[in-house]
Amino acid sequence: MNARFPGAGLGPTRVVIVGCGRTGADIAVALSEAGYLALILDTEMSAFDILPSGLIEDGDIQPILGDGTLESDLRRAFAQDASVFIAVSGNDAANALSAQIAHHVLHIPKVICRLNDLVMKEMYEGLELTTVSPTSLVRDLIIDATNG
Amino acid sequence: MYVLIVGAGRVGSSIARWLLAGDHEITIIDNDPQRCSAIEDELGGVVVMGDATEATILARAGASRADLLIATTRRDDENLVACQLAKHRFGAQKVVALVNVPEHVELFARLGIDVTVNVTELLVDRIQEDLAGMMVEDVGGF
Repeated sequence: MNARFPGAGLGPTRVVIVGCGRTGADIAVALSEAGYLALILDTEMSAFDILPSGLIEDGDIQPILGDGTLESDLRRAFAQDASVFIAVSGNDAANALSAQIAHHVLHIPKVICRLNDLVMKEMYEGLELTTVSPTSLVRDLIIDATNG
Repeated sequence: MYVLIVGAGRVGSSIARWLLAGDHEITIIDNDPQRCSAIEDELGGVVVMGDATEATILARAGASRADLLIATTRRDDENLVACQLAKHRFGAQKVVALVNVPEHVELFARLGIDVTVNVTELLVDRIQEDLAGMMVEDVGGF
């Protein structure tokens, strides 16, 4: 894995993912395959069942039982050393809190927050967060398909 | 003053009664139908049922003319988002949040929440005060 980052003396680039639902798990797999070390948090142990066991055994994905809205749990996962933080739980408010801790307290360089609510998305874009909204993505795809 | 209260639990409903007694205008937002109807039975038409982290619900509760929003739920994330929406989308003058997890206090203050009420610290302080009193009495008894 380190061979893919010959210049990085500190090992692979760390990504913290909060929420091990379908989206979080898919992101963890894709990023670990791209050479990142994916640390994925969830408050439910059973949530990690959807992760491919091979990637966990190889250490490319590390599941961590913890609450992504708590600075103390995030520090326990060494989130402060991560280059990228991705909040993709199913709850907009929880994602907004996690992402603001990551940005304002842990000072992680790149923070991405999933928000379904478009008003919240617009507000937090104005408050320094990078946001992704499944709602607007699907809307735009449907509009494109309608026009196409 | 027009005050929006998020959460119709014990804290929210007590603050509502106190504000009404002081002739202030209030609306309480809560997403639990039972709590909403209990408040409505007691205090009249001062309830909007719904999720206070949604702008449409805040708008229905008259957030754009609110002087103050007080978020009193047990969930810090919901309290924070309701306060931030009130402030940034609706121009509320002041926002107050109960903070259930002490480590969130500093962040909330930094994010512009005007008043944070550290629930855990208040309880612990009070318990320690009471215990200290009891311990002094014990010693005095000898």
